[in-house]
Amino acid sequence: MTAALDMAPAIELSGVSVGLAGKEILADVDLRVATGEWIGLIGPNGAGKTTLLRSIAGLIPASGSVRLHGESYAARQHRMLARTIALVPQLPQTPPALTVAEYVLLGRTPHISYLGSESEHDRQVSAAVIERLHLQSFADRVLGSLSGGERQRVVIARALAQQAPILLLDEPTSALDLGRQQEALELLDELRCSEELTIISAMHDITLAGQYTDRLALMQRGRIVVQGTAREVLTPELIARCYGAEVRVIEEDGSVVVLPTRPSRDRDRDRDRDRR
Amino acid sequence: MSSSVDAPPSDLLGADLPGTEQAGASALTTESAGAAAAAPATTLAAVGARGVPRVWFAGALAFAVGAILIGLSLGPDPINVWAIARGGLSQLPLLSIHSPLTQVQGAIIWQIRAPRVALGGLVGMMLAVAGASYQGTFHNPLADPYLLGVSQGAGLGATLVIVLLPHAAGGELLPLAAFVGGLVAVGAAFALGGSVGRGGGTGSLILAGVTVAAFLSAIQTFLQQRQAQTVQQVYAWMLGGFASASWHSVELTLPWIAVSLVVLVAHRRVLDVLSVGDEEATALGLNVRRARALIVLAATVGTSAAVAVSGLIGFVGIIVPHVIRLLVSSSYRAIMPLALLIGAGFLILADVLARMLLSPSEVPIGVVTAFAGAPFFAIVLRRSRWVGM
Repeated sequence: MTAALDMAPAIELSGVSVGLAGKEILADVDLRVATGEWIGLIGPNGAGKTTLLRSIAGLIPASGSVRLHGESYAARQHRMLARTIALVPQLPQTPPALTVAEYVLLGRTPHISYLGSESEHDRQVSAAVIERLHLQSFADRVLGSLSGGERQRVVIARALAQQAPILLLDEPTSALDLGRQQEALELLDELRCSEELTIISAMHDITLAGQYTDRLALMQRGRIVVQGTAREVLTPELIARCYGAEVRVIEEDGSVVVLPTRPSRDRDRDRDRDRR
Repeated sequence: MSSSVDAPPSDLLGADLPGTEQAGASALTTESAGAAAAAPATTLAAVGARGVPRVWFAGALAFAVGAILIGLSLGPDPINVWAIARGGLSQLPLLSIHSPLTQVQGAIIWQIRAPRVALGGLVGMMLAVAGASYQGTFHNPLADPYLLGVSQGAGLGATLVIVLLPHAAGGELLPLAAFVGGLVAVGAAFALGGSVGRGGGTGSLILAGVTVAAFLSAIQTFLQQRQAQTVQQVYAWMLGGFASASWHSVELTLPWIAVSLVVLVAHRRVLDVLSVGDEEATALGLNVRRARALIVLAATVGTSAAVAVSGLIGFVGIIVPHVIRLLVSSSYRAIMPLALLIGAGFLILADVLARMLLSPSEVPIGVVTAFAGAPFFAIVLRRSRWVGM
């Protein structure tokens, strides 16, 4: 057993529930995430992935207990919480006329007093993050002039500037093309190792989720149905049950590939064969 | 640089300095690899917000000082700007400058024009800074300081005094009633908006403001129409202006406006944080509801004080912040200090036109701000690219 596993998990949820207007959106969620681990949240639309991330980040009231590095955060202030958790929402608001440097600097907010301004240290951390994500060449460009992939990297940069050990990402790749998706996920994996981050990301593409994360948690109707490795979670039966989708699962080069099949076409093919 | 060097793991968490020798790790994008090769090793020592560019600050300061001198100089008896400047310097100790101004000229400048310029400057600053603050807190480019009902509340307060206590209307009761009316209106809007839905969101607050404003406006119109003989007086108050400016009115408003301006300008970084939206600002550790309440409170106190002595002057609170956004920066670190200077200068100049155009009678200052401001703003809008707030 390594030292990391002896320590309290970075995130420990037990019995977390969220109700809105009498409707249960999260029901009794238990999840333990070890320090340095990357968990992928998957599940159909409306399964509660975003709500789970928002409740971990303290943005919505939830019952049950959330412990970060062994500490309950009910008593913590917003600012202390933001030093522990950085959140990259699915559709971040990026003020179009703000420059990349100004936007990344906003990530230092949890380290600055309410009416204070950034210290030299804050500026240096932001500069280091900008350099780390190779954003130097457009530090002075305004956000409105960036492409989707560039903007995604800038938002991740702002989250890193928070220097929070836990990073939550809601569909970090949903707006990107395939190349930009891989680029963003490779970057996250690299950062996870170099900055020792613990990551939870909600993901749409379950094949990519399985390729990059350590463990998957499959959600449906506000509950975690099953959690485990990609091989354990991405089975045709579970996917059919939760997504209502017909898939085949192939193992290729050690990663699990989920291949959607067209039910009608398969039926046609069977019928053609029967005729012959 | 064909093969990428394996960089030692940089440790941003707790790093004091940017990592040295951060050669591109494996996931380098092609775009930035190209850019990095084109501009090799541009190490950013530190990243800063733009703040106020010096040139713009100097320009805005010159504009404000110029407006003050013009405001003191022009009138039925024009007085040379240099004479005024020398007269001002002669008041300083240790400088043996002889004032070229006659006693009458001194009295005209000090007793008539200076209070008017001072009040115009204060109100201009207040409206511009409050407008910028409202646009920032409500994420709404159309927000002005009257968004949550200050104008209707103050209007009702003033009308009540004029209609019910016509003999007291010349004294201090009128501005006091307007001031209290503005505060009450926004207080009511805040109470209503905070109790709706998830509470304290911008949408519910704006709707609550509209509701309160409509209600107060209905009462005000009803009262005004019942007493036809005072319509003219109410109307004149609403149009606003600085015809009755005195050092006393400056004294009445200065403390409120000064405190309000200090609080709002101190919130310039908070306003930048709010620009990423309530949810993300909260995730960055900002107590959004408290910040918004503080900003609205400060803006309301200052705006109510301004309205109490000058009536309702439109357009300043919208045009000045947007001119700065279009020409300089949309960061509130630039907007707030520049709005102070440009707002003051703009309203002082508008007041000069208001009293000079049809002298000896006065043009309502709101007519001047819009008539002169709108074409100018149209030019700025056409010449620059609006990318959003």
